[in-house]
Amino acid sequence: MTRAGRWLYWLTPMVFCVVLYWRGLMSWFTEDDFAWLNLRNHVVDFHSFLWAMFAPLAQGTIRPWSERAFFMTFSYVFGLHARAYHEWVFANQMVDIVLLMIVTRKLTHSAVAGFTAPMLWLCSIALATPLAWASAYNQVQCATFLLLSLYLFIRYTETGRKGFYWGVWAVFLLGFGANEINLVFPAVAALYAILFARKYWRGTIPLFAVSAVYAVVHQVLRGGTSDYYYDMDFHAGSLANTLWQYWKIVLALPEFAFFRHLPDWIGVAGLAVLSAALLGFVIWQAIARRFLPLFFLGWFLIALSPLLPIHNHVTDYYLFVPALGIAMLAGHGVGVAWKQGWMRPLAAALVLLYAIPSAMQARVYTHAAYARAERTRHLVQSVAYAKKVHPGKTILLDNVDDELYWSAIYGSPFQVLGWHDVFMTPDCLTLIKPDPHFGPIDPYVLPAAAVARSLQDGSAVVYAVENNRLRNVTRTYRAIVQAQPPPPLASYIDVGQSYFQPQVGEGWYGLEDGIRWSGKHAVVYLAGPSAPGRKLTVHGYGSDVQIKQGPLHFALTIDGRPQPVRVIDQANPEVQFEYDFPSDLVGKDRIEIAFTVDRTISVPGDGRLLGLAFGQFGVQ
Amino acid sequence: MLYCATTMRHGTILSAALFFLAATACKNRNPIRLEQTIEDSQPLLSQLRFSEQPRADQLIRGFFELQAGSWRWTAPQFEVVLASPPGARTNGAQLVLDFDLPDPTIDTLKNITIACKVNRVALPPETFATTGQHQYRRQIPATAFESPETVVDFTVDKYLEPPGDGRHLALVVSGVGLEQK
Repeated sequence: MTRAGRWLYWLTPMVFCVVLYWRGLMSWFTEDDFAWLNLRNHVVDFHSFLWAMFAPLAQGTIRPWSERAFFMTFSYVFGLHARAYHEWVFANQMVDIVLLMIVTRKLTHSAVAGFTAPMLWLCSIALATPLAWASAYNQVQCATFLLLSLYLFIRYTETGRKGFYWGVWAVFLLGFGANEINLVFPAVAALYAILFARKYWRGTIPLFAVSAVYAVVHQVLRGGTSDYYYDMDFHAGSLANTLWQYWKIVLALPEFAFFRHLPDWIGVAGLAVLSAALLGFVIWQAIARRFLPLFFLGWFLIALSPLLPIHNHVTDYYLFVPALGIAMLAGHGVGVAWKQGWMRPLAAALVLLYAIPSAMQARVYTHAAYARAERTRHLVQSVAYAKKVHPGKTILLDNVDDELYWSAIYGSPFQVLGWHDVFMTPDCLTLIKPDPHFGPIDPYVLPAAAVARSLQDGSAVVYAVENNRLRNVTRTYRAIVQAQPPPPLASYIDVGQSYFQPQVGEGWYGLEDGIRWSGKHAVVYLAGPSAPGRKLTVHGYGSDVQIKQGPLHFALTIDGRPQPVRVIDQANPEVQFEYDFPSDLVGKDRIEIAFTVDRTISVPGDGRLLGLAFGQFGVQ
Repeated sequence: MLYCATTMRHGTILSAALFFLAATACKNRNPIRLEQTIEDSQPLLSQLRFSEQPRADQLIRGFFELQAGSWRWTAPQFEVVLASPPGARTNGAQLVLDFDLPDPTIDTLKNITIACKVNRVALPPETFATTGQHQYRRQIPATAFESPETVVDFTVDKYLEPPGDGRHLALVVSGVGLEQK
């Protein structure tokens, strides 16, 4: 191969990646990105830095390199300029492509396979999300660690040099910081050793031990996290069903046929042909005692195995790492066919049967992710402008639809910039389809009573989402609100915000930086619960000075009915209490919540007798 | 192996170049770019004639896209905000809705009744049973005008559901306004 040919050989998959996923490179942030971008705001000292880096978050995962360090470093350097994040992801993806080519060439001894494998992998719809959504970068980084670990292990078995073995250890251990799927590596290495270098399989036993310890520790740290979407079902039927769903996704044709409104049989037939080709190749080669295809299929199954119990969350991009196995398998198949001249047309036909629909689908997914991110970008950047031209005012967003809510608002993007006073109008509730597994929408909506109050006193401006722009509709919206009957009381209030003033009763002092001090006795008013079984939540703080004097007793009444007295002390300095609502208060327009603390404090120079600082009162 | 070493070297160079690109991609150190919003600058109008005023910022809900530059289909409920005309707080005003009932509406529905509220004050409804141009005109008492903006909320009792369209079509409206008394 000439020098130019070599460059072409190695660069073509990279160029193909950039061309196919160009929109991903241009994407902005969506959804979980904002939670990660906000992480840096929680870091105030070394202890909080350690928490941000290593505490189990987001379904109990701990991914310090691919999520915590990635987002904290990039948000520190680049803020909300998404391009830099995606360029980094693409740079890492280039490393993955090179590693895949090297590993495939080394295992198959075929330049054709080494070229075909990354090309087919890039066509997979599993790549669309990680290359367009920064929160899924962990997949890209995890692939790097696994491919590099495998490469080093292969080199170890080839040379027997301990340096490679220690290299395996280093990469393997670091890989846990990318994604917990890294724990499958010992199984991959063991399978390789058993099939091709049997005397080295014992070297994988300590790796298994690390994975087992990691699994146990991870589970313990994760604690009792329960989540519908991450519920695990280990029954054989459920595992098989999930595997079948992933198999259909990785071969793309059923999804392609469905998406393009083609007859079902096209997807089924295509799936059958590709499945027969791949599995037939594995069996044919295994009968001839050539086990490399079996190893590649093993990679797919091993990498997928931790995900099979998660039956409620079958997701395209979870196949990012497992799809490497299918790509190497198919690449190897093409390499073998290439050597048998007469099989080339068949191999080419199979490649096209997979690659064209799959790449088209990947492109569609990437464009969809880009479009969602663009809507989010327009919204957040427009709100940033609104905050600049209306300093100090609450921003109310109207006409936020379902997609924009889930892509943008739900992730709390405004908190990244320190804005806690951007809400949706109550009218948006009719446009959004709630998902009970993702919590209520209410915290993102300013209650109608507060909207009316804030428009009346001029402390809020209203913007309507119009395509990708925000239009100031304050005047119109205020007219509509004024033309309607007085809104009911809110069932959730923050006494630290001026627009809830009408629901703040006697016994309170003035607003101070988002909080309000109570006296010894204070009252608020709420709308009653809309259904039985709801709870009253109360959130506030006691001062250190006060609590150091001894336990403080907090006695609360709901519409005159005394509730159990709670204690605030040094062990529990935060007021975070829940009370059952009496059932006869359901649907009541106005109920009185009153509380008394048994002791107050006063600060020198300040004549006030201070009880507690609040805080929120609400029906949950 | 030589091949791989060369490749890895190239990969390293490429990665370094891409990282450099990433590091220099954003010279702007502001945490976020700003995107200009559309701020309300135009005064509200008390009369909207769609052939003359293509702007839709006073149409709150229930209006479909402008057709032929002069009219819009409405949903069975539609709402508009208008500037209160001079003297409305003392003299009241007149509400005028100009609309058309096309043949399919009367052929299918026989008649339609329009009701209206102006700032929560209900006005008498009226039934229309012929095709062609119509006007719904009502006197509004001065007590309905509490602020410089007036919200007018129309309700139509029947509507068309063209197959495959998905919309509920009530009236073909060409203008709506508040006239000074």
